[in-house]
Amino acid sequence: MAFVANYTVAQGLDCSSVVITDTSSYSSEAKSTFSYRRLYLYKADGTTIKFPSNSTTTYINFSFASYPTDQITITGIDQDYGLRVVMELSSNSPVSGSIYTKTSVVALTCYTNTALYNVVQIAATSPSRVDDPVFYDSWSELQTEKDAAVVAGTYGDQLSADAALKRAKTIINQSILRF
Amino acid sequence: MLSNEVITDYIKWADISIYLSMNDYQKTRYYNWVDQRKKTRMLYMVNESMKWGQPYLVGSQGYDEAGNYLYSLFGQWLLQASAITGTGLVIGTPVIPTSTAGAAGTIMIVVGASGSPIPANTNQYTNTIIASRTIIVILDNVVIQTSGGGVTYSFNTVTGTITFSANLSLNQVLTIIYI
Repeated sequence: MAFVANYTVAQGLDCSSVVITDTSSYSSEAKSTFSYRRLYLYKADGTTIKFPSNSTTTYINFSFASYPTDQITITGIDQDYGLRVVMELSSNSPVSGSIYTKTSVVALTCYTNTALYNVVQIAATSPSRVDDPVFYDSWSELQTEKDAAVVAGTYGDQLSADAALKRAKTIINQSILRF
Repeated sequence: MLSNEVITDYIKWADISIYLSMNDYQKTRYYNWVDQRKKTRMLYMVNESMKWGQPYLVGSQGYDEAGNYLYSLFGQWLLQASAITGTGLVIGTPVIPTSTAGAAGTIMIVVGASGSPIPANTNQYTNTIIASRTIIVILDNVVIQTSGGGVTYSFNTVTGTITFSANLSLNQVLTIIYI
């Protein structure tokens, strides 16, 4: 059976980190047959997220030796991004039909989700706040941007996902005025 | 504290209430020229935040407050929603009268309606008629309890004041049967 590279991307409550798990099956091609495993986290502007922060390479070294559980926690995420995530493996003995690179677009929405949750807290404790059009419209706008980012990510539209998250960030930055 | 199971039910019922509410609001728009679709949007937004927080925040005070707020938003459609999911409702223990001070009666109040003794987004109702009586409190066709999940109430038998655990929303129907 041919090898197919695969991974998942997840965020928890800590918005400054993202967990990437290599979910590829190494039953057909053992880990020892690969010379390296790398991750590229491309931002919308084409630059990459550096990890560790002082890294001088465009890729993140997701080596089998350093990450035997196939999971890496990348820290230092300072805001939500529409990211293009590439996992690249190099095989020493490539097999025809195998796929060694996987690319997907992911919308990181933790900061926006946290802000939305904070707004719900305000509404829950002071329900009359939703009668304020600025409050309600800002809340609705923020929710729309988050939903848009997720959908854009699902369709691989990195620029639109990132643009929605940037607009969401602007709303969050104006929280004192809006909420 | 709202358990994970209760939260799962709330989220499911809220999802269903979104389309049930749009059915209802379409009628009120057409027949009464009243547009309440904003409430559906709020239901959606609060529910989305509840979904996001469920893996991490169940058991925290803030999440419980948000859960009770969600309940207050979908309570109007709870009976229908629970019938659709087939999970049914939890009915409390039978009420045994503690006194038979006078004739039994029923009080029905529409929250926030013109002349209503309960303004929208408040959580108290006082009526000396129910003081020293045994009461059954029904909110939007659902019998509510003095403890447990969802909206609860406390009753001051001296003053005849009912205090709800969450604010009541506009057009919720409160029925009090006193014995």
